[in-house]
Amino acid sequence: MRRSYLGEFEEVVLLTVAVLAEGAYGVAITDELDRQTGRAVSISAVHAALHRLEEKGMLKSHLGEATAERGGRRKRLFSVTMLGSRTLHDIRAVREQLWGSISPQGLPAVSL
Amino acid sequence: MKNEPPRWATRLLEIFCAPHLLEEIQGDLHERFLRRTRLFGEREARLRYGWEVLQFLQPQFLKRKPDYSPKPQVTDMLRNYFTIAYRTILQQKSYAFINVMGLALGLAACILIFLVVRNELGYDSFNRKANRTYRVTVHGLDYNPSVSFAVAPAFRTDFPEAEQVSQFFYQREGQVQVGNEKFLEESYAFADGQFPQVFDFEWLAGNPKTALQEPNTIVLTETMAHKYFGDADAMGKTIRLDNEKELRVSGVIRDLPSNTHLNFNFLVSWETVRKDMNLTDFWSIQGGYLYVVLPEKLHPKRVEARIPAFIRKNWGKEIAKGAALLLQPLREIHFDKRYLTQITMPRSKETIYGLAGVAIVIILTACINFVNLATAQAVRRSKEVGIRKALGAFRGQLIGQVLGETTLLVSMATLLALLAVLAFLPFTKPLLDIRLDASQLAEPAVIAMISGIVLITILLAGLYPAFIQSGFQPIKALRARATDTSVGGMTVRKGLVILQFAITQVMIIGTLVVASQMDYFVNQDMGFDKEAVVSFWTGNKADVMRQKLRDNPGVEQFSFASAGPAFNFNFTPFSSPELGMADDDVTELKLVDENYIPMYHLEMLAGEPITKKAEGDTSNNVVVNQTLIRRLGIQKDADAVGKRVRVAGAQAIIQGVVRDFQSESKHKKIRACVLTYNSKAFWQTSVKLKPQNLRETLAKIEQEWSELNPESIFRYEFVDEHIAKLYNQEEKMYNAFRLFSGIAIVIGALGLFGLVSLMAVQRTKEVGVRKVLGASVASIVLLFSREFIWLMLIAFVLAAPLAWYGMDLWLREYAYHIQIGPAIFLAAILVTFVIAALTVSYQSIKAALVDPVKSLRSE
Repeated sequence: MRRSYLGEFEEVVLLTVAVLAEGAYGVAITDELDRQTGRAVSISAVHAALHRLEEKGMLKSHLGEATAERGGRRKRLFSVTMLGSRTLHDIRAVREQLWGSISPQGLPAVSL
Repeated sequence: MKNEPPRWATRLLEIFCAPHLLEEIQGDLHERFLRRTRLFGEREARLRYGWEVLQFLQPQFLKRKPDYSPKPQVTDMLRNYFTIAYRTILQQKSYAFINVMGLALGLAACILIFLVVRNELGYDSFNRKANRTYRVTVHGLDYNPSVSFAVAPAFRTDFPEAEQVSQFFYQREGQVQVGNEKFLEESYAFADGQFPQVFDFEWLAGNPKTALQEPNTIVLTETMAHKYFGDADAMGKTIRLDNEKELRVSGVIRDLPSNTHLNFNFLVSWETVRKDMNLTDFWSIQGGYLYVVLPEKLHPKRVEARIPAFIRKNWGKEIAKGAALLLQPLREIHFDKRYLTQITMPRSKETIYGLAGVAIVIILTACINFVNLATAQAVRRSKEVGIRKALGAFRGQLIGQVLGETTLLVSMATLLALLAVLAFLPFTKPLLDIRLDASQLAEPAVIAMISGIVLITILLAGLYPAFIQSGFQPIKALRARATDTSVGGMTVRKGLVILQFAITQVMIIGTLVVASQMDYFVNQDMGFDKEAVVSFWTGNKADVMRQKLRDNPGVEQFSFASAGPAFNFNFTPFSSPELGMADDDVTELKLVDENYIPMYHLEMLAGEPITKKAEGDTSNNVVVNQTLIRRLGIQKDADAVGKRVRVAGAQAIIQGVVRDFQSESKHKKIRACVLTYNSKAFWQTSVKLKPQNLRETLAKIEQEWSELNPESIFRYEFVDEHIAKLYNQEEKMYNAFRLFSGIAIVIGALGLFGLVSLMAVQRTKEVGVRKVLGASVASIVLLFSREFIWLMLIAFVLAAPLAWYGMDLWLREYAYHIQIGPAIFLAAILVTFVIAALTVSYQSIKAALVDPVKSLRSE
């Protein structure tokens, strides 16, 4: 089965959309990424990833309400598609399988 | 005031960002901007906003979303226009054909005439100094382009400010010998060293500054160099001229351009002959053209003002009284009709402008065709116009569409016209005596002018139909049926047809007048017998030749003279103090033998004809013509006999009076003429041949002559051919008239044909009903023709006075001309009638013969 390749950043963005559920749009996603991962992402990079994901069919979008703080412009709200969901699950399964296969000596101990 | 992000950044984003992404991106950026303003202050927020906008300038956001919704472009509409135009042309091949052919013919004629006119008006302009070059001419009793050779040296001394003073001496004929080959060449000239500085020839070999400085040098034109020496280098080779001069080739120039008054095949340096010439006498018989180049700012009038003093100083008071020197601008030479005896015949500017007028008229006729057919046809396309309008076409678009279609047809016509012109160019020389090269078509000025003509044609032909067609009311247009009678412009169309008929008639009348004048030139009684007479240069040993001619059975009669009746070389002053005419007037002088008057059948009106004079007989008896005795104030011919006159400074007694005969072309009034016996001047032999075995007789004469003159080449000319040559210009004019009026007539007929056939289609139903009700074929043909007959008659009323006025003006250039009689007008209207009848009848008979069942069943 063909599996769409996801880049690390795309994967994170896709997960963030899933995290935000209803309110996933550019600014919110950027903020959430910032908060969750601690890295400063540029809004343009987020937009680029969102549209790439949409082209790949992992996200779908619709235009939401216009608000005053946006200068009267509408937001594009994203949600994860079936394909996106499956891809995320696949990735997770592979990772878990890999984690399960690691022997205790395989990884140096890290103190959390 | 609410905080706003920096405007430049927003604008930048609007310009670059793909429209479908713009809203969300702008919204997100705005949201972040507001938050940052709250958190960090406006300055920071603006800075970050700008930075973020810049980050969006990457291909992913710039790429526009592919758009699949139909968005008609200008090209789509154009394609539609082309499709419709193509279909219309296919649907109505015959109209398209008529339009294109008519326009092509008109444009071809127009372009050709334009080239001719350009050529004519550009005469002698190839010289850089053309605008300050003048020919010095003499005005005594007459205008003479040749001045004595005495003038040049004196002019050089007395007018040192003249940049160049150049002597040119034209020779009608010369015999050239190269090796053992002999050639009889027409037209060459002696020219001095300054000549190449006055005229800018293209030098293929030799140095223009020195080529004509030394004696015994010759400069050949390219053609001549090729003729004599083939591909070999001509420079330095030797040429023998007239059996006496050995000349060294010192230069080769390109052949003369088509539009210069100069005419020579080669130039011999003036130094070669200068010593043999009379360089002192102002009224010397010898003379040539004298060209001067004045400095930039010197007006010729200032030079002319000093001429009387100049003549007085050099030649004395007496001469200054009777003569003036004029400075004739170089570029005027071709148009100045005052001087008739010159190398190339001048052409009046009126003729050239007349020709240009003809071009305009022809293109106008072609445009009228187009307008007529287009408006008549507009009804057929009213539905299309209606629909276009209903779908929201602007009037401007519809006008554009019609103009576009016109452009399409005109372009096709232009292409055909250019091909036709190219094909015709080689014939301009023999037919119109104007040499045009295809290369002229490529010159920028010509291309611009042709484009101009084409553009004007498009506008003339397209604008009116465009306005008519675009002006249809959509409701009416959609409701109307194609067979309804015409929409708009019927009066205009009638007017145009009248105009066209009128043009055709003017052209026909013009052609007929020129034709009858031509006939008058060549066939009218000249006052002497010109049939079967050949003349040639007597050569050496006239007495032996006389005996040979007497023995030749094919010779009816012969005569020796200085010149035949149709040649005039000698002019001399005459007066008669006894009869109260003290001042000199000019007369022709013909030195003849006793056979001259009987052979040419000159009619003696009084007194005795010329008789042979013995050696040493010093009596000076002359025969004169009627013009001369009228000048003396004698009305009765017989009264003149025995009167004394002074001819060429000597006393003479009039022994007889001869009826006036035409010694020059009919451009000029017959001049006074004196005939006298003088055996020293029998330069020309004229022989009247018996009509039988003409060829053998001529061959025998040639053989005998060549034996007597082994060095020379025998050349003869029939007198009637010589006379015809005098009217060369008129013949070319006649050719031009025939050609262009032919074209105008064809265009007119084409248009009429198209119009009638359209009319026939539009009136199909009417004809059907009429036939059902018992109309005959004849009455239907008449129905179609009646209107055109009326239009034709109206046109004639317009055309006749116009043509009469124009042609009368033309005829006045000739001292002797025909009268324009009613016969010519009658012929013209008859010709138009026949042409119109032929054109109309074909279509109308076709329409009348259609079975009414068919014509009424349609729809």
